[in-house]
Amino acid sequence: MGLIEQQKFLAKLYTDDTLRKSFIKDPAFTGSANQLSEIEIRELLSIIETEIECFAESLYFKRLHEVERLLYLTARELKHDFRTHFKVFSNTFIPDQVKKHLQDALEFSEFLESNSEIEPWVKDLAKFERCRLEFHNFERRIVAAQLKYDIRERSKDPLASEPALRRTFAVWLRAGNRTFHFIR
Amino acid sequence: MSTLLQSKTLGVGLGFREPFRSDIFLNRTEIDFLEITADHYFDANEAKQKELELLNENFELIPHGLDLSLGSAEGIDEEYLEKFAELVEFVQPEWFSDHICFTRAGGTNIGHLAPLPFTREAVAVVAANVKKVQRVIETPLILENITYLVRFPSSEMDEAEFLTRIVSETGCGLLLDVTNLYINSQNFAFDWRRFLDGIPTESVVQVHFVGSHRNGKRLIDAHSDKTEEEIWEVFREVCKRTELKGAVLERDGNFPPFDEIVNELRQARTIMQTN
Repeated sequence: MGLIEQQKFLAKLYTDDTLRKSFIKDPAFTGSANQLSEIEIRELLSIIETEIECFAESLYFKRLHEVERLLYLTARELKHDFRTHFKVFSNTFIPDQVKKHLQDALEFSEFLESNSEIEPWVKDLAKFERCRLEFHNFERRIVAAQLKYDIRERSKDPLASEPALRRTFAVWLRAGNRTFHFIR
Repeated sequence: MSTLLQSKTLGVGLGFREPFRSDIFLNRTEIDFLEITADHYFDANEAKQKELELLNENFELIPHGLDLSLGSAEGIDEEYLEKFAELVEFVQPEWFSDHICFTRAGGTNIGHLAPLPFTREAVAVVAANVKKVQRVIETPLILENITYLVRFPSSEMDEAEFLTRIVSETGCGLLLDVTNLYINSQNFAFDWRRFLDGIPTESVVQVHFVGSHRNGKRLIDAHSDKTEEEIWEVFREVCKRTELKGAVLERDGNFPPFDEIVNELRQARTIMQTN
């Protein structure tokens, strides 16, 4: 196997939990299915549980920390569950654009919005943050989000009571160099 | 290297991050130049474009890329290279930089800098990719050493020889990250002085420095800590061995009051001037 094939396999190995597990469980089968020679299988096996696993973990935490920073309100409300859901999400999606952390955050927000395990008002918070990111990063003139819950108080104060079921609109507007935001 | 030798000495700079925006103008005399993350200005929205114009009008800028993926055996992403070329054309820097690593393969973007095996094949791949970049961008490219958690048993040489061969094949200068060097030397128990003995230190054009961060048994390059004495020691040693054109403090998080940043810049300047 040349470097080109080795890098293709490594890129998958670094970013795919399932592939790493299956390689550790059955290296001969997974390795040969990915065109690895016996020598290459032995070489990767000698470093997979220590060095490759460690690097893969560092990649995962880097993604997680960036997305937590971009979706800080949602992360604050979901606490540990944010990481649990991101772990599932990160195995299904790998960003491929230049602004990969932004792409990750937008996709993860949609993933949360469609997740039945998430409280509906927290889904609204994720939607609110997604729309805010879209407005500020894609030069949109107007972005509007229709929310089922009134998240105003809770977004300012994590100790405020749970948002009430009340239809709310969040709007971001751009006029020349100025931007405006209101939520009613 | 011949074009690089004509580049002017920039001094001590700072990696630009948005939270520094007002402080850099309040402390202009302390900052000789700024290193900007090139990727942040690709497909820039109006606000980022204005930021770039403002920085370019007030500071000498050096673009630093994250995703050229110079070690990709499948070659360079042409669209990325084109965007990088447009930025370099706009900024007109003394040099620009990226890493000796690969960040994508087979359609998978790894999301970070992944190490290469230290083999002749990898040297040839980097050399071919660098030549392609040099055909598109005439401004000198310098290459940075990365931290790594993975080492390949198939490596045919040590890292110092690997870098030396790349410098020799490409004619590029080095951006020696002294923090990355120190971290690797601690994680993999080698002597960083011997590493410096093994590379052409006269090719080091610029250095990066920042504190290392302990994560369990390993040190990592979190870019979130104050530069510690051990790393200043590496910096001092590099300055003794070569005349640097630039040094950049690369702080990405856990931002301290800006006075602390200024103190680190002053310390770097003193080291560069006295060594």
